[in-house]
Amino acid sequence: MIKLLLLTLLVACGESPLLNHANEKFKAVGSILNQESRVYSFKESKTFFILDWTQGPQLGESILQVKAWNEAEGTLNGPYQDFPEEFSVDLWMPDMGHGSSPVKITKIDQGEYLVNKVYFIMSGKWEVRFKLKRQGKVVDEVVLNLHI
Amino acid sequence: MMGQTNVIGDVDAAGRSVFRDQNRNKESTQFARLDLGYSWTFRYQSGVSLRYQAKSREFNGTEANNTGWSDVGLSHAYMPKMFDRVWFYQTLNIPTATSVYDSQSSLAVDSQGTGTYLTSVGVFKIHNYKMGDLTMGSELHRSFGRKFNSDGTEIDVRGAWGGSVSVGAGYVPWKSRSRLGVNLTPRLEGPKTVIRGENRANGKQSMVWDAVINYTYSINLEYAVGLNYVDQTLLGPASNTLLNRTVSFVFQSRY
Repeated sequence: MIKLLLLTLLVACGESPLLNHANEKFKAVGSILNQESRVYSFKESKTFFILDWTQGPQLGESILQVKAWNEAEGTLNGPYQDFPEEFSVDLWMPDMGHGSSPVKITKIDQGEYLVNKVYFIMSGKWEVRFKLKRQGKVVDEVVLNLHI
Repeated sequence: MMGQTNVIGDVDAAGRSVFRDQNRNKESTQFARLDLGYSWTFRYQSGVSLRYQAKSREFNGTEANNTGWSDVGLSHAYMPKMFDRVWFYQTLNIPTATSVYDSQSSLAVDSQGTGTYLTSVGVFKIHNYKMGDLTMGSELHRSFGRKFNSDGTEIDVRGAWGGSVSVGAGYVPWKSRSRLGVNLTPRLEGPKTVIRGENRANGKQSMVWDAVINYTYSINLEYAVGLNYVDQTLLGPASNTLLNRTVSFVFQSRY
């Protein structure tokens, strides 16, 4: 029994987090893993949007601005139009199986939205899920993968 | 029992540990736990566990706090005649509290519970020597699936398996009323699948090691007090988990 305890201790100390860890650094910007451009599209509703991170993405609060336009009427530089359905954003950690607290979305102009209270509460892989909802049901979704 | 848990760090699925900057990223839980047990016979007992806690988080300039009841725990244990000082037990966690799946508050400080029903079966053995004791145990648990609704999206949390083993030793110096004990408990949680709307996320398994030091002083046959220190940063390998340190004070009474 005592030999087993000592053997377990010996093996377990080899990978001790206390002896093998990095210290947290608050980076100004996390890495965006699937960003080919800043332009994203909701395919079903043929709506495009552009993201500008005014703060972050980072540990703690991040803030982003979203500008949307319809394929037929707008461009990257405007005019911007409101999303045709209810717009929502949520955060998810796929490895951990949980998300973060709800974000706050404020419409600041025609087709322009400010998303704040975007809290990445720990380091790791995150998904930012942009959704269009109709009567509470998701009809279109774009996922942005990040490493914070 | 009363105590405080501080989150020291995070470990990702690949086993990389990052210790938090305690000036900008603090997370702690203060708790009071009441364990009530009743011995129906010499060999059979059952109990209920209630826990009230205050969670606080400071994160890069943002602060959030929440207090509330955690989940309710039920347990029962049986010591068969054929084994000496071996207990077989079963526990049930009833998810009465808000969890990370239906949290609404800033920084998820209102997630006071696990979110799912969980049952475990286990065995625990104590072996006494002249001046001390050895303890060992193991348990296997299963969490059950549950559905949540978060901001119009259905979150379907599927069941998962987990388990732990435990070995420990205690020493009573100079035939006194004090006992010093150490205990090691590696815990494994199997991968948990969570389906959010149309999206399926297959989580990764997690592992953490509890290294425990405790001191107990028996005032008399009816009352005892003790101090526990649990450190999850000392031993590994750890993966996909938080790393906590907990200090708690225990008061026990028997009627």
